[in-house]
Amino acid sequence: MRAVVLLLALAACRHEAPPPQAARLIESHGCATCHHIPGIPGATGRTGPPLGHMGARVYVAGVAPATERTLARFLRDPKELDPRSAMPRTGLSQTEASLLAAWLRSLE
Amino acid sequence: MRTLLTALLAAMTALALSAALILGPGEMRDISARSQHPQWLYNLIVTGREALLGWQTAGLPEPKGTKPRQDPATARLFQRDCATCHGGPGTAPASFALSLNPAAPPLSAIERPAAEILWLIRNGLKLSAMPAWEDHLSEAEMRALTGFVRALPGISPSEYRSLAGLRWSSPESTLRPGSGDTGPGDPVRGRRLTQGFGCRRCHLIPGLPGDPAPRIGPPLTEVAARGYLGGVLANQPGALAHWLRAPQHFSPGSAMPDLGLGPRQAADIAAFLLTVSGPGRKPTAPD
Repeated sequence: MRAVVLLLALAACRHEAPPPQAARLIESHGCATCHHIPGIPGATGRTGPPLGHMGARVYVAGVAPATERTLARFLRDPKELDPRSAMPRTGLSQTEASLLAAWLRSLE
Repeated sequence: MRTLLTALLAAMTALALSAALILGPGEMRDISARSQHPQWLYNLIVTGREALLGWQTAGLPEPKGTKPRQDPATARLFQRDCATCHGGPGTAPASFALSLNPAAPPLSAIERPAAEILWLIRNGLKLSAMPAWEDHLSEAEMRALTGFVRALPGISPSEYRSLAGLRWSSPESTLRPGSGDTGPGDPVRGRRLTQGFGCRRCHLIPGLPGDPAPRIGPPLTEVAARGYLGGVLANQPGALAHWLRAPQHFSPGSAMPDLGLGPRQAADIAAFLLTVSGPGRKPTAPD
């Protein structure tokens, strides 16, 4: 059992775990319901795309160049960037959105 | 030292290729453009090619006049001479070019020094469809295009359309409810079409060799389980074929281009993608 836990932990370590602040935001805003997010236990949602390589993606939501700034904008108000997006408003503050966007863009 | 290593790598590549050709399975002798090389051979070719390109341009300073730029004149030049094969943000290559093998890569994800981009434009690339443009464009045009390619990752599909003076296509006729209902698609034919329509240029697709980490579109590893297509269209039965035919109808401004697929072709590709992408959604899932 311990070996399995260790293996799982190692597998999760392939990606940098989110800083504690980001992890708290991800949990409190329910991102894991819809997204696969590295380093977040139980974040295996498949409604939206996996977020494991957000740093390598060229576009956010398939419509805008994926800069940290655009991603933060999208995280705050998805429909401002993509009016038909299924992603709901998150209620993140600007600072919170920037913090999350910076971490997501670091995921190559 | 670097030259020696490159020469050694090239020699080893040639040797491995010859050995594989003689001893390998039947797919090694398939010279048609219908299927990609096996993944290991694809990787070997790309690695060798990148090493040689790096050697050609090693130590060159950033060429003058190649700063990132996004002006309408260069965008129109790009659309005329480059996008035919490479496509642009949200625009597909010409239909025939989707079946090129090797595919002309989408350039929004290219991360190369300016010297390499200019070298490739000027000299072309052997055993690909990339021509040497030196005798067909002016020096200033080649340098402007280099700058435009450098700016591409920051240009949205909507911005590209307005820069290059393109209109959005509006395929309403194909999307009336009920029209294009072809019944279940054929995954075997779908596999061939997925290759032939160049889907692998932008997406990771299980079972189709190619770029190990394409960055333009999302990986199509769990299409059947995904809640929404393109982030906008609920993934109900039949939705994928509709999405494939007219993505920009459902998601205006999407980087996913209209590919000119017929209803039968879209149904077949959808059937293939759903077959290879793992188990579907559980109907009881709360999401």
